[in-house]
Amino acid sequence: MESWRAMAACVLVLAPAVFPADEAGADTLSDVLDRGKLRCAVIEASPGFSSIDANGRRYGFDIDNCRTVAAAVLGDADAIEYVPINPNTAFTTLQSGGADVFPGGATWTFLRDTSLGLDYTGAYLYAGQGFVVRRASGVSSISELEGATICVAQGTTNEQNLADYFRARRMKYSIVTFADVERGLNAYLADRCDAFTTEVFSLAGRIVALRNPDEHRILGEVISKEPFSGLVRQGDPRWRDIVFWAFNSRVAAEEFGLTMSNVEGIRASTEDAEIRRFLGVEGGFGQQLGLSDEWAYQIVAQVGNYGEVFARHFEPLGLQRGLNALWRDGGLMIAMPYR
Amino acid sequence: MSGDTLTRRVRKNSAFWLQCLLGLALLALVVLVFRTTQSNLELLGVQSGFDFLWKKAGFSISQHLIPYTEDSPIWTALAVAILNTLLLAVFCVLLASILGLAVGIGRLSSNWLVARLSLAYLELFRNIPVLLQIFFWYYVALRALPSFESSIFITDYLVLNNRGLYFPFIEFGNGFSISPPVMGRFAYEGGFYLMPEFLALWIGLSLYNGSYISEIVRSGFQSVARGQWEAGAALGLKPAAVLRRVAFPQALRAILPPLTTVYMNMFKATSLAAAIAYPEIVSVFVGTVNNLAGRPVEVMAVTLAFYAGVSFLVAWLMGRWNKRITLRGQ
Amino acid sequence: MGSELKTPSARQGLQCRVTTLGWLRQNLFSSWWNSAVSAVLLVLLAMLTARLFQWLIIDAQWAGSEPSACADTSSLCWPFIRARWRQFLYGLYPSEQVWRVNLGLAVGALLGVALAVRRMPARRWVAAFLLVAYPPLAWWLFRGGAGGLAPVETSLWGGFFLTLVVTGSVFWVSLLAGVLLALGRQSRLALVSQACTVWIEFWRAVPVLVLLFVVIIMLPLFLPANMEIDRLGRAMLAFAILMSTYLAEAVRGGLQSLSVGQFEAARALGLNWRQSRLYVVLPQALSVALPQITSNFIGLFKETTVLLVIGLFDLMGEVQRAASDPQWLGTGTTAAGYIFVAVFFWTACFSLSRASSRLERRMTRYRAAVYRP
Repeated sequence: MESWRAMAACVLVLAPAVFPADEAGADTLSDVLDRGKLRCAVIEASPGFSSIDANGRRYGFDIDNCRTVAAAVLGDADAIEYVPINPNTAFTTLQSGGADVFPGGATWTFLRDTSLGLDYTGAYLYAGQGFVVRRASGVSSISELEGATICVAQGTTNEQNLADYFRARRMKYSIVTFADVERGLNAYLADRCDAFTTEVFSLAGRIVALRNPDEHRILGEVISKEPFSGLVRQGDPRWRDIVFWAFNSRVAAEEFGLTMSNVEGIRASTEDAEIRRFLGVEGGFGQQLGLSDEWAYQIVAQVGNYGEVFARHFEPLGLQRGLNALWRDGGLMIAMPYR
Repeated sequence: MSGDTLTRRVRKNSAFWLQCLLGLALLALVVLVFRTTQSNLELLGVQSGFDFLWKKAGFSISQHLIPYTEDSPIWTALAVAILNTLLLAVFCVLLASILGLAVGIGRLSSNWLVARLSLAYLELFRNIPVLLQIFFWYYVALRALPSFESSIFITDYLVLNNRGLYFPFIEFGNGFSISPPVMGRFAYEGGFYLMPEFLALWIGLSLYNGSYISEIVRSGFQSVARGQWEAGAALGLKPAAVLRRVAFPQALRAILPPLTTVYMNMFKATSLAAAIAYPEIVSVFVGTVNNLAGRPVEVMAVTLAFYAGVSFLVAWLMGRWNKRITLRGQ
Repeated sequence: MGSELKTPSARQGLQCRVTTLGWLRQNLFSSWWNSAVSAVLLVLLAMLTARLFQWLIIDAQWAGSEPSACADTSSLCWPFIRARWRQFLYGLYPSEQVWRVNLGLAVGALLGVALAVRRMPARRWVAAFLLVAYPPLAWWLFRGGAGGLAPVETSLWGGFFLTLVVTGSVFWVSLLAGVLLALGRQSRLALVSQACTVWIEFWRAVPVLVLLFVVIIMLPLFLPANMEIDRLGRAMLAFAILMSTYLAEAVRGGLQSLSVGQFEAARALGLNWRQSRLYVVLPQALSVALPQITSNFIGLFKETTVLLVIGLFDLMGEVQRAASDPQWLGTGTTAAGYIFVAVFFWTACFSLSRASSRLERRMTRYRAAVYRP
């Protein structure tokens, strides 16, 4: 008889659950505020983008992207719970709510934008797909890679670009696909492949970090455009806006001449109306996003402007601004206006 | 007496209703999960359906047993991946069985050294995680092979280097000809070759599961009554003949059921290929296609269906074989 | 291979005192064929030992603790283990909180040892504590976030510590679920037994890696939006689903070995279903199933290495991660790391299986003594 009652109770409990009244849309912002932490998806061990130092602290361009969003939303650039992912679980982790934002290494493409249930939040880094070969092989251009074995990371645009490029030129090649960039590169280093391909930023970062970078050569050409953008779940326009404007703020700060060290002083003294709106002195722009008014100030004060972030992580690797310079310096970085 | 039937009837009735309720609860759970998934997918704007299988794949697979290019549809890529999985599984079953049989019989050898070495093999390989063994072969042992310029020639027709094991071409065009692999700009070209990922998985899985098989073989032979060996010897059969003609058929009865389990485990373990870069179903489908097509539910369903299908097929076949060799009346 | 096979009971034959020479003649050189086999094997063995000794010890690099100590990337690099020792033990667990891990594991180990001592007073209570109170307490200690302990995200857990946590927690949950599933499969209620059978047979066909991917990727889609399980929790759920079906099969084997008389006797004593299962059936079934259960435990222990594929860093994952550091990168480093992990797993699994077979022998003797007519 006891089991009877237990069963009945079970059914009573389950019945309402089968017909849930819950049809509310996702609200990532309030989830993050409730949690007090931003869940940021990062790819582990990608020099320049995401590394861990000897004390277990993360640093890199992607990490600063996470910190940018956390500073804007929570006012604390370090209130982050990192969610380590592989390229081949990145999208599903985000789709399924395992992370609030994936700010690193995702190329903005038509199909991904339209079919994955994800939204891009604006390009923040322009790269291209390049190749590294051993100097000893004597290869100096991509066209000489006919018949070569090429290592690549799985489920990335690199895998498809490679196929498209070689097919269009009717060049034969064989491919070995690894679960992530790191394993692919290690396989190349161990002479499993004649070349390794990924976008040039992370390629350069990884080659520089080697013990014998001179033995390798990054070919001059690139075979694709790789505009990197943050990714969020589809169906939450406010959250997408927040991430977009958080990234935009770093570029704007560089245009305004704001840096980590001078932002506090300028906030107190500036008469420029746009900078005053930007830093939350007037206009109440933060509230429009559901954030505190000093959201952009926190980004600049805790993370820095775009140029500072770029210099911090990519200059030690010997990378130039190039396409990623401000528009007025001939690059593609342009901040949407704050008005 | 009537009281007893009454209680029985009540109990039977209550069992009936209990099952009804349980069924309802189970059904409710299934509906609940289904509905939640549906609404989650809708909320995310993820498309669903199996139509992606007919789209162009657009990626390349390094080892394909049937014709495949980047222009082939995704279902062809699936077929390629399934064939790669099965190829690996068949190779592993063969090598592991041979190893297991040899070592299992070696355990029973009267030669102390042979018996001890067999035992050492068993204990060494059984107690180390199979993934670690595969990694060892892949990242350490095979990486130590020479590069293609200084390949090892096992014969003129069989070339081993850090890019794999190359077999000669066999051409059936006009007449029948065998020609050795040719050195190209970057590697040996043409002909068939086994990639290092395959070799590592093959060696790793076979050595690991061979240790389990050897133990099954040993206890299978030991289960054959002593009288049977003696009777064989009394008939004037040589020890090897006793082994083959008398002991083996009887041992097989004890060997087959646990052997099925090991084969199944080995088949399932081929999925570890996803950890290195061998293009079997998990690597191609869960790795590449999942990200291209963005249909997690469908991709996972296909993968699960494949494993479940093969498992049930193997269980059924081995069950039939087992029935055939079981003694009647047992 | 020896030409003569030992028949099954040959080793039970008379034991005679033999001289070394006699022993050699009998066991290695009993016939020309045997002698040839022994000689070839001895030579091979000697060569192998020499090569291994050369590779593992003489050619290996021992001194230092910096990447520069292993300038030659092809010979074994032991300093790598020394340099990354802490990471292998704890992963990224914050160093000022590591005492919590040490304390939790030490208490667990102490309880385990206490349980193994046969004359331990209040052994039953120790067992109860270890099974009921210890897991949640240890989990709280490691995870923190309540009772004054700083929270430590599970994404920071790693190394040897994570291997133990996963093995322990999964086994703990699976044993309970497995017993229920086994009882369910034996149930007289057709629906219950059918449902359990389908569940068990389906999951038995699925590889652990695939289920890990399924759970990591799809679980959040199955759950309502406000329900969340972190990555480690999901991975453990995947392991637990598989492990509980394996254990259910082991326990079912134990249940089937019981004679009908046991069930009837329990009923004759007036015990109801729960009492009879709890006091009569399960204790016997579990003790019969014990070897199966321990071998499944060992299997689970080895299987945790698969975690590295889905981006969790158990002992092997940490070694892999450390060996991918560009400063250390090289075959010699990787090999040293793998050998270290292999030695660890081998020692643990070998002693566990030895302990298990000793326990099994003791229980067989015990049963033989108790049930002797």
